[in-house]
Amino acid sequence: MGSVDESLVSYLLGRSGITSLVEARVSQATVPERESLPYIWVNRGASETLDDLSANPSDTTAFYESFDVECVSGDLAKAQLLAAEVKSLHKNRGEFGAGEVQALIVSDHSDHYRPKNIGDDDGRHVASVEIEIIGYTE
Amino acid sequence: MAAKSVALGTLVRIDFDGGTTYTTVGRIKGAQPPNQTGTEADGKELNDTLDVPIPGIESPSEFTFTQYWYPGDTEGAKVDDAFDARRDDAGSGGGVLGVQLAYPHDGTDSSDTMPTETFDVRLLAVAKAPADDPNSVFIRDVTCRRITAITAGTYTVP
Repeated sequence: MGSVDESLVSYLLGRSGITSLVEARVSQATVPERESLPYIWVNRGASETLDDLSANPSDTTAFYESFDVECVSGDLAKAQLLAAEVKSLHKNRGEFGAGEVQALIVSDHSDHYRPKNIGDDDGRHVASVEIEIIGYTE
Repeated sequence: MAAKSVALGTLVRIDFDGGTTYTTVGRIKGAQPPNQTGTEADGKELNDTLDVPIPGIESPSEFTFTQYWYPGDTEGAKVDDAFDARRDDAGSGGGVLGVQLAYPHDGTDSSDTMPTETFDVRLLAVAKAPADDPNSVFIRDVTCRRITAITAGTYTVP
């Protein structure tokens, strides 16, 4: 049994438009120090359950899961091209890694978001997007 | 002083045939148990110095619950059928539903005895939440008119 994190990585690596740019360079959670460019970094953000009156804890799983996704490149145009590929996942649904989703909602990240994959003078360009995964089940 | 108790574990159990074979009705987001309000009648007499109404019969009240639901849901269709039958006589497939609300406050284990409120209703309204966003979840409020007194009892969780 996998997890929604692993399924997201698997799903991204199953998209030819993405792998043609990053090959297998999709990192999860830990910011890579010496990864070749370009790459994608994903990290789980907020999650929300849809609560009901049931007292059965197993009935309660996260229904909305949001992920920070950073498209990192040494070239601004390539970072934006990668972000466009990720944004093309908007409103996809169905098979998703080891499970299924009811909907993927992809949007530009908030102006207040501070990318984790960029330093002061490392010459990287980062395009940040947010993926909301809705109704993930395995 | 009464203990503080939460609503988690409250069961909304309904017999759609108006009997006493109650079953849960899917995922219930929340419920508004029926209120109890008495009417009052004019009780003034000529030599009275204070206008004190006479307690009358109980006013009608509503019972509402909010359930997760989706079009095509077999369990959810029972509510739609009950709405269509709301003017029919009691009986199998009729317009009268038996409701039992089982509260968790007697305990928290599966073998606990839960205090209940039992009454009959007719369906009054089914209000579906708007699907105004791609990520909207199908939810609806089901409003019932209580047509019998509330009877207190217990339900032992099997």
